[in-house]
Amino acid sequence: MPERSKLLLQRYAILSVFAGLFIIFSLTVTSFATTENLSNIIVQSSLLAVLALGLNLVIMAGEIDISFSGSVPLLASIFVMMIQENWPFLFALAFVLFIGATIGLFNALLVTSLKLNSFVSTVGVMFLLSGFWYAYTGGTSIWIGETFNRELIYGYIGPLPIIGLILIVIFLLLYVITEHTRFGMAMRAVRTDQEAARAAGINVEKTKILAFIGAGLVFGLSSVLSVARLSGAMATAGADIMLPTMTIAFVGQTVLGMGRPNTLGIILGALLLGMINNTFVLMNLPFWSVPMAYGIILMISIALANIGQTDIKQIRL
Amino acid sequence: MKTTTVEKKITCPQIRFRSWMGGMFVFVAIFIFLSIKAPGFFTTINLVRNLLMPAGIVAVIACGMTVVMAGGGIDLSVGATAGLSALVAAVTAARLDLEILPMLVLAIMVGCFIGSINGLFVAYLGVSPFVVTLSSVFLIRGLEFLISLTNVRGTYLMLPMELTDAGSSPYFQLGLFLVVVFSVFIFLDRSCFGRYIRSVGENLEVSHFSGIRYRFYTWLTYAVCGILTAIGGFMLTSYEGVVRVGSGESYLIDSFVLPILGQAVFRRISVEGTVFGALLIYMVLNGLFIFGTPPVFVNLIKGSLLLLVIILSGIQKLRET
Repeated sequence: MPERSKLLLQRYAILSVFAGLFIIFSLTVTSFATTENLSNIIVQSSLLAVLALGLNLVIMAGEIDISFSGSVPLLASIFVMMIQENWPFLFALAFVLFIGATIGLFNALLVTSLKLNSFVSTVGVMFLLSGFWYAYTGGTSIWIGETFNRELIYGYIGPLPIIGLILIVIFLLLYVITEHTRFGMAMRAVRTDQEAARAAGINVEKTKILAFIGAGLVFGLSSVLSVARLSGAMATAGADIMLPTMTIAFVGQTVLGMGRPNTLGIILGALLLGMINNTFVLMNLPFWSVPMAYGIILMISIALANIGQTDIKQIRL
Repeated sequence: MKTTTVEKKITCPQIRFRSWMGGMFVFVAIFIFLSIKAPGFFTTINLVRNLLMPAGIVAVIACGMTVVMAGGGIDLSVGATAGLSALVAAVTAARLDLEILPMLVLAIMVGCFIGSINGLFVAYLGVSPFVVTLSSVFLIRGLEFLISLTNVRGTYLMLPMELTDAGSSPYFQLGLFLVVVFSVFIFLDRSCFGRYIRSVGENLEVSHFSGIRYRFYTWLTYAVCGILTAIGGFMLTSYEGVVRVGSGESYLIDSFVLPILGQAVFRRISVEGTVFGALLIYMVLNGLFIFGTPPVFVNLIKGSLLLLVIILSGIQKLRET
């Protein structure tokens, strides 16, 4: 294959998969391309999108954080308990964000000061947190009841879903931070070559700690969103979000052929998966076809974006 | 003429402290403590049925992960592969009235097929193993739903009597476990395959320049992992006595944690380390259950054990450098 078309494929593979599916769905499924359904897709994919944005922050700094799969259920149940005991909403939100940031700081310290591998240590933290969650709730789902107004997050302003606006605000914030600030550049440098970054005068430890704390804040926020979405803290929330969130983070890396984690890609990846989920239900396809479609699309888009780079990628643990 | 006496240096045989000794010491200490303090811990039925049999199943699945990790990869699809291969074997067996051995062979073939596909994408197309194996998780989950929807009436597919009998017999489970662990040990540490796999895992470039077919050996790790995972899934299904969708999926994180525990103790990814990790975790859990700790604390215990061990080994590593 000529060099030029390889580059084109790499660059636009996922975008064209996205656009292609969108066109096919709009032509074949009658209720797909309506404003209502499109805003539904945004609503449905926003929770995973926010989670993946948080994960992406850590991935941008060259580490990974699996602990969200334990921290989101824990923080969600803390939030529910606080609301049930009539704490004000903003205070509960701030408290959950604070706990999230603390967990992030703990993860960061394990990675930076003990030089542990982040994948391994955050899996340990995930186990710990889901253990705390069990001890705290007894392993059951808690419903939030009437005290909390879900419309605050999942309502609509005119035709616009509020959660979509929240997603856009978080996205813009993180986009500016990761692409247009000194800190964002520092994260990329640390990910590309830690020693070179250190030699260039970047404080590697500080960058990583900030990235982990930022991710912890986002995870705290998404736990509140999940409470609003599910009207409570679900027992299965942790295991259900781990693999889809990682999928979005991986798909996001290849958008626009950047070959590096980027904030825009996360949104596209989340919308892609949300669109498949939504449309397969609309088309009345059997439920086993949704995970199959996830797998096939993840595989195809990554393989397309990967054309021409046949070096084996190894995982260092 | 002077007679030169060769002075023999008298040295007492030094016991060099090796990293695994610490781990072994902890293991033995916990074992002795539990034998004395926990009533019913040191009985054959507890040790075999509650400790060795479940630990054996996890250890076999984790051995597959060990091979992949020794070759510098990771396989997130081990749990799903275990479930699917057992499901396919059981469904076919129910249709065709197969014996145990053909069922096992069938499961191994399914596992080997999935592993080979994973390996193909990782080794020959250069896709990141995270992505490849993650997408196989989704594909396998869909297939599992499809197969069980079309073949299973009611909630569970009951297995043939002789299989559940074999599954609950310690001779079958432990025999399979020992055979697998021993052959994987030979494969990884006493054969040229294992040598090459470790070399590829250590340094891909150097292995390439040394003329090792690095793509083949990377592929091989995934295929072997598929086979081992299928055996583990078969053991799990026969132990549980039913086939259900997603039966192996909870083993994903465990199978990843055990080689890491072993690495922290034995200083490298190794079969003995993985088996050690499985025995240690299941012994601690078993002891705590005897003391009446509710099973909801499983995750807390696993997490703190994992963190403790890796933090200790991290501190030791920091001290050495």
